[in-house]
Amino acid sequence: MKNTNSAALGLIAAAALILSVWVSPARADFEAGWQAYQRGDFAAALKEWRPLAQSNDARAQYNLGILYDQGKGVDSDFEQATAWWQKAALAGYAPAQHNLASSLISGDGVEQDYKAALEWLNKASDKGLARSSYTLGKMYHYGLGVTKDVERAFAQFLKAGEQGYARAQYNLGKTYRDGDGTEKNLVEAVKWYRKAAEQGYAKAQSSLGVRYARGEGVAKDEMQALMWTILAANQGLKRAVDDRAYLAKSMGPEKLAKAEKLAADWKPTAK
Amino acid sequence: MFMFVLVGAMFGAGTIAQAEAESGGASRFIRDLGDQAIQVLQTPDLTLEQREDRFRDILRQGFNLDFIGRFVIGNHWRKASAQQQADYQQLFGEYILQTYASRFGGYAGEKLAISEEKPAGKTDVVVRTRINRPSGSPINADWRVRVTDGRYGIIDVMVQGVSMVLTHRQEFSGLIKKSGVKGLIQLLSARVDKLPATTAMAK
Repeated sequence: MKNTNSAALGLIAAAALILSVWVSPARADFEAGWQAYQRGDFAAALKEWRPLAQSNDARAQYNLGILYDQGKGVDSDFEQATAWWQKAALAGYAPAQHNLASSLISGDGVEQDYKAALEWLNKASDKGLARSSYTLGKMYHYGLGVTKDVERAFAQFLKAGEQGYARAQYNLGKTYRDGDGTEKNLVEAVKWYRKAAEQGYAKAQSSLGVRYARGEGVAKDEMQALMWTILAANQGLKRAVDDRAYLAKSMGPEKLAKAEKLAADWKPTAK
Repeated sequence: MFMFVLVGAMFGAGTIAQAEAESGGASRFIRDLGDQAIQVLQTPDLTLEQREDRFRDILRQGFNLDFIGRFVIGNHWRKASAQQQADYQQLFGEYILQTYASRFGGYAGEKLAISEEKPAGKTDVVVRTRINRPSGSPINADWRVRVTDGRYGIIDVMVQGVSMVLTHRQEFSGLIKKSGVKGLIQLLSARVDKLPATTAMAK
């Protein structure tokens, strides 16, 4: 009985294995490439992904583009990177649409074309890619390939910020602070700066520190001001380095030590 | 050769004499950074992105990004507004850290060997290293180190003899002439805005 059972199980397992390999050989190779990539064996990742990319696997095309872009396991080559992203973008793969747009904005490996970048960003944003919504916001904010429109910029920042994207949250803080694309609201500004700051985004930490120091949109609190400023300064942000020196001078060594302790114990939240 | 002389001239010119760096100090500084880096590479269970993140923190401590950023845009610095200067420095730092973390940070079994340390100009020291990888050929990286405000900081890396700061300076100068510091800020924003490799399926 026991034997029969295990034999049957063995058969089923073997069948399942054969079936899985037969149904999705691409998946197995992709995974092998991913394992190699995570190990830092980029030559092996390239070897797995290239044939998949050549047989129109969009995900492999996209990742192959990353290897070329960053020069991993291969010489850095923006044209190759952009060409692979283009193939995957045309197949509807959102991350590739986003990176292709980045190339079209920077002109890396392709002729600079803001209008084409906007089209790809719109597609990726529609699929829910927060980073693409944020970048769209920036395009509207600066008027790149489109008429400058701070309200549409704000709407895109909001879409990305609500999905948890720190850069967008920081920009929402700025737009609320300045009333740039939305009504001025210092409490909202602090709310969004804080969301980004808590994820560890240096510029937002610095801005939140300034809000606390001035008591704008939040109750004045010099300890919180110094803590957030220290966190930003530790990431090398110039303004925060200056602010830290200024705040520390007026607060004295005891409070400085306490704020430094708070900063040392601080941990970013996951988004 | 010309490039090398040029770097020497540019870095040597107009600097205030710093306290003499102790002999071997720059090598120790680079070795210490290298040891930290290798420790990251040997920590199991970290994803590639986590390793690169930690690498970025190590490079942030090691690089004098302020100096490098200023040098790379040269005279254009003075023509930029205070806001542009701040935006540029922040983005340039992010871009450099990202680029070099992904260039050096991911390789499994990487080892750093220091071959020699030699003075460069009046103020600097170049630490020559060889990065050995289990697969692929080794990379020669020379780190130009300067003491600023009593601290060691890397002000250039020459990978296989090609200077990082001169490469970027050359790359950016044409762009700045054409579209100003504003154009450069847009370029850097787009470059740091890219998404990383993924296993996600298409939606």
